[in-house]
This record gives sequence, C-alpha cells and structure tokens, in this order.
Amino acid sequence: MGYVDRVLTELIAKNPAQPEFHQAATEVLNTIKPVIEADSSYEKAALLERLVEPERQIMFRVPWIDDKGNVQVNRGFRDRTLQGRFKIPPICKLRYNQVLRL
Amino acid sequence: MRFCQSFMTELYRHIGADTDVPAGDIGVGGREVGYMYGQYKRITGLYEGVLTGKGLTFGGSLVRTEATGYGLVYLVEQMLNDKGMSFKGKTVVISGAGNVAVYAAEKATQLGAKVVSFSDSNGYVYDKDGVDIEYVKDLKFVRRGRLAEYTQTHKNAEYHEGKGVWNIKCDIALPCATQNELNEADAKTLAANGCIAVGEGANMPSTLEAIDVFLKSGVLFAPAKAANAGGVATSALEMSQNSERLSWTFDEVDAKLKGIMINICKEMTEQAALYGMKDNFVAGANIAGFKKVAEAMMAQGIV
Repeated sequence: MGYVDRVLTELIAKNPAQPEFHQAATEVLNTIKPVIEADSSYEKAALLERLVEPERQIMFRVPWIDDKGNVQVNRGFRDRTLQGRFKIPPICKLRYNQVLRL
Repeated sequence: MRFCQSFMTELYRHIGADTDVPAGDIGVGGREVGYMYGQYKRITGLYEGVLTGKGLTFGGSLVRTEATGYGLVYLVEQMLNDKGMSFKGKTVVISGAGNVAVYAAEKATQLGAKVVSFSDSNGYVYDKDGVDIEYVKDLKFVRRGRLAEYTQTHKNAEYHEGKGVWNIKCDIALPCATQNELNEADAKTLAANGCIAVGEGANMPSTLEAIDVFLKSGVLFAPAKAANAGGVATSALEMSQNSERLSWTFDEVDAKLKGIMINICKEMTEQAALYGMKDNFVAGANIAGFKKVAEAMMAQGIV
C-alpha cells in the first residue's frame, strides 16, 4: 500500500462517523499522489500524517437565553488544522458552523 | 446577540489577530460578526483585526461582502476565456440565495449572462427572464424571507418546493448553497443538458461521484478550493488594511481580488498540465496548494 493510501486508511479508521472529513481528505490526498510519489522526504517527515491531524480542536459550552426567556445550551467548536499564508480550507470539517445558526 | 456574546466569551481565549482569525460562513453574516467583535473588544480591551467580515466603521474592507461571489465569477470567466468562451450571452443556474449566490449572480449579469434561478432550504425559483437580484437582496438580507414569496410579485416565474434546481437547462452552473447539494444524478442531468462549466461557490457542494461525471464529460469544473477563495483572499486584504491602518477604495480592492482569482486559475491550470492531467482543475488546485503548504511545513521542522 502506498504512502497516501496508508494515510487515508488510517485517517478513516481514526475518525469514524465523519463522512465529510473522509470525502474531503480522499479528494485531496488522491490528487496530490504524483507530487508525493516524486519525493520520498515527505514520508520520512510524516508530512501527510501531520497535515491531516488538527493542530488543536476546542469544544466548549455556549449557554444563552433566547427571546422567550428560555435558557439554551449549545456546543461551540474551533478547529485549527492548517496555518499559513495560503488559502487551504480546513480538511477537517467539524460542523461548527451549524452551532452558529441563531 | 446573546448567543454571539456567549460564544465569544469562551472563544476569545483561543483567537487573535496573529493567532487565528475567524470569518463568517453559513448563518454568520455582518450582524453576527459585529456582535462577536464587540464582545471580544469588551473582554480583551483590544481593537484589532481578530475577525474578518467586519463592518466598515470598525475595520472592515470594501468588497468583502461581494468577494466570494465576485471571485467565483472572475475565476470561472478566466477558465472560460482560456477556452475561447465567456459568460456573455450564457444562461446560468445558481443554487443558494445567500451572500455568495447573490453576488455571483450580480457579477455574472454584469458580464452579460442571464441568471435564471436561486434556491433556499425550502425550494427554488426559476425565472426564465432572469431573476430579479435586487428583489432577492431585499427579501433575504433585509426582510429575511423565503423564496416562495418571489412569485407573489413576479408572475412569470415559477417556484418549486424541495430540490430540483439542477434540472434547469443551462450553460453554466454555480452551486452556492451548501455541501453535497449536487450529486451524481444532478451532474449527469447538467451534462446531458449541455452545461459547459461548473464553478463551486459553496464549500464541497459536489459529491465525489458528481465531480467524476464532470471530469469524464468534459465539463469545465472549477473546484471550491480555487473558485471560492475570493472571500478568504479578501479577508486577507482586510487584514492587510488593518495592519496598515488604511482603507482602500472599492475599485482598489476589487482589482486586487480579480488579479488574485486570475492567478489562482493560472496556477491550477499549470499544475494540472505539469502532472499530465490537463484540464483536471481539482488536481491542479490541490497540487498548487499542497506544494506551497508542504514547502512551509518542511521548513518549519517536525511540529
């Protein structure tokens, strides 16, 4: 099994019940295969394993009072998967934007 | 407001102008960014570019509102130009009716196309004479209404409940609603109806199978990573202006945005060709992005 396939298999096993993550990762990793295969230093540096592992994920409680005076309790998230000057969207998609819906 | 304030009361510990800068997405617009910004400033005492999509009176940038939609059309126009085609005279089907959809429709119309649809979570509107974009802006951004109301004042249009916007015959399709809204069957219908180009305004709107259909049928496919980068790129321009403590004009920002999108199109095209996958812009965009990120990661040690 090649490096890319191995990383993808491990990713899916390590992150069950996250189909959007699998979908996004599958698309990206399969298309960059030619670049990876041309340079073995990526595998030595475990570049892909580090690329797909979030730098940090934060989950927290968001309590608030709605317009009717009822207490609501939501869950907030923030995910930091890739930093840098270039626009690479988060490969890991926790559904945090759902929580932001009022 | 109370929700945004409660959310920021925890989030502020983890973000910062040089740490992590959030922006809006589905359900988070100028109003929400304003409330979150206010709470951040109250807690930290810092007046900094910690969020983008800010209002113009507290560090926002012109064109930020239009950026994702405009950027999408700039990139698709370049992709078409490279093949000797353009938006002029084309029929465009758009899904969604939020920020991205509305401004993509506006820019496509400015370039001479006719946009015939919008959709929301209840259904879609089909107006063969071209959708009334100004009406939809008021309906969605001011009155926060549903597209079902459109036919009350536009008698020549049709409103349909549920999904189906991809069944409308078109030259160009711009999914701007949400993830996985365009599946394999939709892709086959579009291709069979003569669609020549698809540009993803939303994040991951096409399923993997749909993308496969487009690539195999020769439909020009601009993937989200490249095509909707206009919003994020303009967020970066907002941060640049914050750092300079200056505000650029609308035309200055718009010109930079257009340049950025044309460059992204150029890179995705070049990289695809370089690796023997001509016109596979999904591969081209991923490879172009990956190479930059990989170089930075290799330089920064095992972190």
